[in-house]
Order: sequence, then structure tokens, then C-alpha cells
Amino acid sequence: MDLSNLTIHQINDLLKYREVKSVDITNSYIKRIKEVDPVVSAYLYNDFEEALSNAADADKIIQKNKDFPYLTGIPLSIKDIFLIKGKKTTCASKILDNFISPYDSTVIRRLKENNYVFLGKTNMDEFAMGSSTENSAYKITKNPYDLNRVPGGSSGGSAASVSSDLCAGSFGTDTGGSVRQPASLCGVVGLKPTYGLISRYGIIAFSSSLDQAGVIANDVLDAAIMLKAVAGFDEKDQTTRKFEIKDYPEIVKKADKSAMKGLKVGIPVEFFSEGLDPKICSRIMEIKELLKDLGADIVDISLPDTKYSVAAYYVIATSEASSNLERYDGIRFGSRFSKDEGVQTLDELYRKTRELGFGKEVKRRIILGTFALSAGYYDAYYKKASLVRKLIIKNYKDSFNDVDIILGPTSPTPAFLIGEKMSDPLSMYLSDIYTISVNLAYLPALSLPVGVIDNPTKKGGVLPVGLQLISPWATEARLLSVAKIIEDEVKFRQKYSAKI
Amino acid sequence: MDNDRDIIDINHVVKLAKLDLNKNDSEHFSRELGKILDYIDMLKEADVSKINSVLDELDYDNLVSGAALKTGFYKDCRLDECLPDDSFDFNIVVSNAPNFDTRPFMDTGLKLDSMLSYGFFIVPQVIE
Repeated sequence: MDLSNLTIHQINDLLKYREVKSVDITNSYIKRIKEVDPVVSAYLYNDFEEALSNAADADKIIQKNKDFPYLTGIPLSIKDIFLIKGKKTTCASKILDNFISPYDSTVIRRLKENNYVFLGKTNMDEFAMGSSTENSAYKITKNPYDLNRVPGGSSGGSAASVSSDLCAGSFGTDTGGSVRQPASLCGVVGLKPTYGLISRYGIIAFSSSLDQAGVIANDVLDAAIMLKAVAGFDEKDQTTRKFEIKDYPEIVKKADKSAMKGLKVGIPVEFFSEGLDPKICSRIMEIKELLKDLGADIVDISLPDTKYSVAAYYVIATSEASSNLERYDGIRFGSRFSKDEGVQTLDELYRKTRELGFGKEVKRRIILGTFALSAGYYDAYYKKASLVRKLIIKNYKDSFNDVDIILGPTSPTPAFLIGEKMSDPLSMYLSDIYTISVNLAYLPALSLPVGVIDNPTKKGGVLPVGLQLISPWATEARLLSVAKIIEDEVKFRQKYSAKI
Repeated sequence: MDNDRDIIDINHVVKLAKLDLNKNDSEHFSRELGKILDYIDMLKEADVSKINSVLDELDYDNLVSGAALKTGFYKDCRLDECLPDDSFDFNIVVSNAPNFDTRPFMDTGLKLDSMLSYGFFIVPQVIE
């Protein structure tokens, strides 16, 4: 039986009807990882023994029970930012290269309760800081559509692992676009839920008021399945809210295009300004026409203060990061660099450990954040940025009085070449221009692959284009339904794949 | 370059952040950070006069007394109380530490089991 290119719901059907076992599915992924990952480098490490053990346990549960959780026996990859008890978590940094986590993150605990199969930890930008996965201290991940291009970041390994069929789905994190942008560049679905929907307990913190776990999946139904398994209030994360967690998979299955009649779709003028690749703009406009044909009302809107998004983000996120990364000091856990460096005092130990343990981008952001919070500058930078954040929140709130959902491109460019933006940090930061305001506003958003453009450097090759949908606070059901309807019309998965 | 724009005193900031920059890093940093600060400068134009700061929105007196916990905004919060399973086992602390020593206590001849949950994180000298 051909077990390649399956979605989670397809695997679930096969398992439900006893046509295959989880061990067979898992072995199929293991074989593919061994063949393909040396080229794509999506994973930092795998644990095939654990995977097969998880699969065997899942098979026993399936055998004994008529009903079992959707994710039972499903092999997933996990961004190396989620703590798993007894396993290494490096956050793609040298400063954690020997860190074995003493506890499970809530997301992992819930996945274990759902009997998932752990395939391995995926590569990422160090401490989730980056938009290309080039900031990893360990390796560069390649885009499955073109191995000379980046998969996006910071969850690039996760997106590449789904896109090249090295897992059935992946969990990543999104602080300024780090799930949606790589999903867009790799031609897969990426969802960042409302802030507070998924617990951040056990997720290595970058910027606590922006971080959110997200899902990267082959299709919208898979994203709904993965979201349902982990979402919900957690005592251990006081920023989670007691939201009503709906049956997202059932809602997606019932999504019908008749729901588009009269749906007000907002198109922000700011998402179509200079800097957007015209070919990407065309693909997004095609979706606008498609929605019009289905009966939706297209409304031009403006989110005028989103022009400050990247500036506000790079003050807030770096400030919060400078605080969150203080704990990496070489004293209680992680790497310590002292013996070979002639370190004489405690102060030198801190400074040397952090100099050698952190990469360039991490240092850059810690310095920026420390500056923005320091005496004399706090009001002008952090406080001002926090107030500007409220302007952005209000832009979205006001717009959602007039429209039901907002759409635009996820990324201003298709996947760029490896090395292309590394010498210009600011141009790298601007790759997140459409995704960042969503984190600032605590809203849910999804990137859906809706087409391709020709690859200028690879004859006959194509590069995926992602559509970003943004819905009001705590309306994941609406977001997923609209995404499903568009997905059914576009049929991206039937037409395109990475062919690797 | 805008002369009104703040310039980062990198030497001061690295002291605050306890983060040394090697020659490789510091050469580029001033230039790159300058460019980024130029960009961030646009926040100056934003008109936030009608926005209340977060501090203005918090109901401090009721929050402290616990009365606020029953109201809409805080209903998902709990009191700041320690949960019993929140601390790490001593062995976990020891196994994670780069340099940890329990020996000083063991040599004292004091009853071992009462001393087993003590030890030191060994570091270089603190006072210069």
C-alpha cells in the first residue's frame, strides 16, 4: 500500500478501518526521513526507537477500543522549542546543547494523552529569532520546493518536514509569523490561534506577550484536528483563557460554500503596498475574485497603524526576549564556557558563556531589548511601543465591526535564496510585515497555500504562495471554515507538491 | 543618519545584558543597530494621546484584595499560591547543573540524609 503523502485524517481512516497499523505508517515515515532528510535537513534529531514504541502502544489502544482520539498513532514532528521530559531541547542554540528537559510542556503532555507518535525535533532559528531558519546554531534547512532557498522561519524545520512528507503534521511556535510565514513559503497550512488558546507552559519563551504555539499541517482539516487536541485552559499558564473549545474538525467537515454568501471580507490597503511581489499580488487577487463569485462582499478597509507594526514588534519582542533570555547564565543548566576561556570571576563567566553560547541574531536582539528597557530610554521605546500596540489592536477591532474576516498575502515575497537576507537584518525583519500585527493584536490567523509562481532560478520549478486569513478574537471556527471553503475551491494539494 | 536619533552606547548595554561581543560581532553591530534604530524611530510620529496606558486600566485596589477575582476581567485568574508539585526534585537540579557539589556537607560528619538536599552551584570568585 502506498503510504506516502497522507493527511492525518486519511491515516486516521486507515487505522480506524484496521487497514494498516501505526507501526507500518511510522516505518514508512522513518524510511522516508532516512532517504530525504539528509537533503532537506528539517530535523535536528530523530528518535526512531521511541517512535516505534509510541506506534506499538497506539496500535494496542486501537485494537482494544472502537473509538480513540484522532491523533492516536499519528507520527508528528515537534519544533525544538517544546520541552519533552527526558529528551534534549536545544532551541537550536549552543547554550542549550546539553539540556535534557526535566518535564513535559503542556502541549506535549496533551499529545501524549492523545497517543501521538514522536518522530523527532525540528530545526528552527535560534530561540525562535528569525524568518529563515538560517539562524540555527546547528544546520540550515532547505525549502523542499527549491533546495537553494529557505523554508522560512523560525519554524522552518517544521514546515519543511510537513511539506516534504517527513511527518503527518508538526507543532511550531509563532511570535511574529513564525508558523504562518514558513507554512506559506513551503506550501502548507499554518495556523496561529488566539493568544491564550494554547498553553505556553514548557515552551521556551522568546517574547511572552506574543508567543503562541501553532500547527503546521497538510490541510485545514488536519490543522483543526491538531488544534483541538491541544487547545484549552491550563492551570500552569495563567495567560490561557477559559475559551470554549469547539469541535473544530466537525466544524471544518461541515463547512459549506453557501456560508460565503454575504460574508464580509476585508482587504486592507496596507497589505498591498510597495514591497509586495506583483505575482503574489495576482494570486491573492484571484482568491478575492473567487470569493466574490461565491457571494462574499469584498470591503476595502484600512489598518493605518499597522505601518508601525514591525517597529513596535522589534521593541516589544526584543525587550521581552532580553528579559526571558537572562536565565541562560551557565549556572543552573545549559552550557557553561569557562575552563578554556581563562574565566576568573563570576561576571566573566556570565559574559563569556553568553558570548559563546548565543548566536549573532540572538545577541543583536538582546542588546536592542536591553537598550529599549534601560533607564532613560524605557518611556521612548518600550512604553511608546506598548501604546502603539493598542492603536493596532483598535484598528483591527474597528475593522471587525465592518467585516467578518480579513485577507491578504502571508509573505511579501516567495521563498528567498539561502544567504540572500543574512547581511541585512532589517530586510529580514520586513519579511514578517503582514504577519506581525496579528501577534501584536492577539488575534487568530491562518496561512493557506493558494497557488504558485514560477521559480526564477529553477527551470520548470514553482514557489508556493500563501494567503493569510485573519479573524476576530477567539473565532477559530470561522477562520477554519472559511479556509476550508477556499481550500476546496483551489485544490492546491491535488495540483502541487514539493516533488522531493 | 538622523542626529536626533538615540545612539546605543554598546559598552553600557553589554554590561547591563552581561553579554560580551567578540570583535567579529561588535564591528557590524553598531552599524546594523543604527539602521534598525533609524527604522524604529517612526514610532515617534504615532499619536497615542487618546490611548490609556495599561496601568490606567488595572483595578489595583480590588485586584490586591482579591475582590477583583470575581469580576469579568480577572475571572480566569487564581490567587498567587504555590502548588505542591511545583518544585524540582533535588536530583534533577544536580543533574542539570554544569558544576554542583554536595561534598562540603558530606565531609562534616553530620547525618547524611538530613544534609542530602543541600549543595552548592560552584562558580568562580564573585568579588573582585
